[in-house]
Amino acid sequence: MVFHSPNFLVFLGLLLILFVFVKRWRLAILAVGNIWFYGSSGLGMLLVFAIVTTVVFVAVHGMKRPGFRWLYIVGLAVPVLNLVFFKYTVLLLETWTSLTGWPLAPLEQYASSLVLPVGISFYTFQLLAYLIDVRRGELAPTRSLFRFWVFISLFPQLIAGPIMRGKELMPQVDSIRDRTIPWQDIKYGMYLFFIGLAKKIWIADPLSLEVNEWFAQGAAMSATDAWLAAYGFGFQIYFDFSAYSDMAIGLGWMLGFRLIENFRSPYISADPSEFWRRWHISLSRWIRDYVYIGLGGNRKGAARTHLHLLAAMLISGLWHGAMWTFVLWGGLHGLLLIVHKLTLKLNRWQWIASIRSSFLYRIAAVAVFFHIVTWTWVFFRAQDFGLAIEMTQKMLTVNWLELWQAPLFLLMAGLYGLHVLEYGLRTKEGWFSRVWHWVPFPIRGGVYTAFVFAILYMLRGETYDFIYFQF
Amino acid sequence: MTSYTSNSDHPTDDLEQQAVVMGSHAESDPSIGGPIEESVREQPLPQRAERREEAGEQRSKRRYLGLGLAAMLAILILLETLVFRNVDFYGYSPGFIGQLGELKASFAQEEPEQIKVAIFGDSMSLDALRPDIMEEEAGLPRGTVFNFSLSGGSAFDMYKTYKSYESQLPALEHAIVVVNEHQINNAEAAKDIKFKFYANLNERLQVMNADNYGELLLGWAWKGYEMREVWIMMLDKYRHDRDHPDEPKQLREAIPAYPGGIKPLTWSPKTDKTYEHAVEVADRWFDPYVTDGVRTDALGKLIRELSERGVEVTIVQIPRTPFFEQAVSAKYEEQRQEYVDIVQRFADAHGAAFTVMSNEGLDPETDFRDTNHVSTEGAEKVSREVARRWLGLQTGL
Repeated sequence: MVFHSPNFLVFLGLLLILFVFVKRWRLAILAVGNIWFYGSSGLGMLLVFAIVTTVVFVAVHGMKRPGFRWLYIVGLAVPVLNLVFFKYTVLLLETWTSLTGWPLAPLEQYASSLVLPVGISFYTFQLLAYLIDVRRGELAPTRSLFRFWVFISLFPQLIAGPIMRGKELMPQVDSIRDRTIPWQDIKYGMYLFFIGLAKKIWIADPLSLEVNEWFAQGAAMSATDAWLAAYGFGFQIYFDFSAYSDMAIGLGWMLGFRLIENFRSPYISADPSEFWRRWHISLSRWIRDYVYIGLGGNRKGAARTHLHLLAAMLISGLWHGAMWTFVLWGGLHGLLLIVHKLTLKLNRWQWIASIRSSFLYRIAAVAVFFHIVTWTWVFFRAQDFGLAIEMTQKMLTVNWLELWQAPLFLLMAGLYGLHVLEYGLRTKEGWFSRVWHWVPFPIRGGVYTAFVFAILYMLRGETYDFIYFQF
Repeated sequence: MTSYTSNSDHPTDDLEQQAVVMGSHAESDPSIGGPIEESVREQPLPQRAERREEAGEQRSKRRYLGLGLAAMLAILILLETLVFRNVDFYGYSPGFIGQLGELKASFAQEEPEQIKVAIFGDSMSLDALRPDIMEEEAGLPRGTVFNFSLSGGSAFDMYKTYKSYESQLPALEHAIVVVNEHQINNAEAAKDIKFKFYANLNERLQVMNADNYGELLLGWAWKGYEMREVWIMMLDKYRHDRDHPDEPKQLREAIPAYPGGIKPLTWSPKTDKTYEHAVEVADRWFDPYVTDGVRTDALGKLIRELSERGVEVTIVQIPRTPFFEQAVSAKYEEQRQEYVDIVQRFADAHGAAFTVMSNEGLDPETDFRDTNHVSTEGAEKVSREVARRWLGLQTGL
């Protein structure tokens, strides 16, 4: 059930009414609502999700008892194997065949018939985080499977994050029955939800049509088109995924939950380290806490630190999809992080540090790094290595003057402007809100109405899935 | 719950000063996922939020009444009443819903108390049964026959059209209900834009399933949403007319009215009169064929309610080309028999006559504009035939 479908809006309306007015049964309402929400994707998927959740719940409680520590391994293995089975079987079989030359045709046929359960990558990471946090002693496990289900399947963040942790969300689940949800929070949630909807409908979806056409040209595309395709996809994926996150966070506000922010205008980053603190924040901190630190973090020397960083980013790439292009994309970002870390050592020379802290340097660094990130998106989006490499070669030989004169370059510049504008709007939300409320309410009402109809106009009866649903 | 700083009317305002990155790890390397300075929208953990609840409650109540949203609601209600639930609005653009406005405008030109014969049907009867010819043939005064047929009209649309005008037809004596197989095919009933326009909650519940409940429920409450395809098309036409003043206008300047009902169509492309096209139409009508549902129920209700009112009901199937009949028999004979049985059952139950008119005497070349719609010449013949058989002799008007 996508957030911008009529089924979801009716579901949300009914759930909100019950949720706000029947406080006593809030947990039950959420539990059933989550089942309805996820079950609408398929009862088989729901069953798989429920089984994996139950196994992890049992493991969480059992592993503390003497003689049952092996349950920790079971709790880790079941969700991971579930993810590997549904998401990576085809990739593993294809890789096996290409490496050994021994085809496993019947298995490949079976694997290609598997349907990827919706949100499997997200709930797997959330379950693992819960298990590991309990194991590390950072979280006291809930004794109620019912509450655990509400936590893990909380519908706003179930399909595409933000990936929440037990210590953040579980206390909110526990206290939800007694919480008063003020009208302001519902209003703010609606604001975020509609901002997300507008980003999706007005920007990401129309852009996807252009981007698909560019990439469909394959090797025939020109150097200018290669850059435009890469820019376009970079903006498409940002506006699409951040739209989903805005909507999820907005839904959280409406229901009295605080979900963490997932994006903070990532394309204004001046280096890869900053980028990963602004892009898909909930995933990058998961990778940091459970992979990077799990491997040893920066405590085992510089070489190992870099290795851990690379490994973490390779896993992050693989998480995004069952294709080696995703792994390469992760690897590229890993290398960028390592190079950036190494260049930080130059800061011991005062004059370099002072240049780096200047405004002009930041502007230049943002421009350069934005183009590097844009280039990496080619590996994320291209159908295969071959195309990604060809696009890279073309991008390297582009005539920049020609690119800047391309009519669609203006569109890309406009989208970047919008991105910066969003940053300004988001960082000064309170100020904008105060100014907005000086406008007489009938005009505000008129603007809201126009906004709603503009969304309907752009929607035109079509709904496209969010890109991150496939992950 | 969150409270707000004294000058703020935004829930995250005071978090800007107190932002914390939840879950940040003491040992973490800031390369990925670490804290950043301008973490403006980090939300508080509930404990902190709860502490603020008491302090902010009074102020919150006073400050945020949601007047802007209330104004939006008022505007939406006004738009619903004046625009989106008003058939006149749609009449400016031709189409399945626009024709409802045309029908209303055409009806407004008549003197309703003179209408004694009403025709209910689809585009086939719209084209084939011309009120002026029928009146002439039956020797009836002008204005006594009115054709309520709609393009794409299902049995549900026929019934709803009748209900819309029922109270305005005080002199109605005879109803000609023109039927064919697709009118009681319920397979795609819920997707029909006319169904959406007409259906009440009860009727929507009958066609609701796991895929369409949102569309049907939201559409019931909010016609502006449900009719979005129609008004978006109208808006596009408006923009086209504005941007291309030298081209023929796509949006009408007035709702057209035509004597005796909506204006019939008289032209089709040549390719529409081939066996291949007949097969295509037959597939559209029958694949899949589900006779159980709101459309079939509506046909039964239409015949019953007309009969109970004392109106004489004649159920007719208009002639189609031989190759259309051939296309239907070749693949869908069983379904056609099912349809005939259902209509016959309704006719028998209410003492109505049901006749499948033969295409003998009609020339497929000249009397049809496509496989199943008659041409102007064909309409002349069919109208006179229907008037002779059922109006001239039986109404005695």
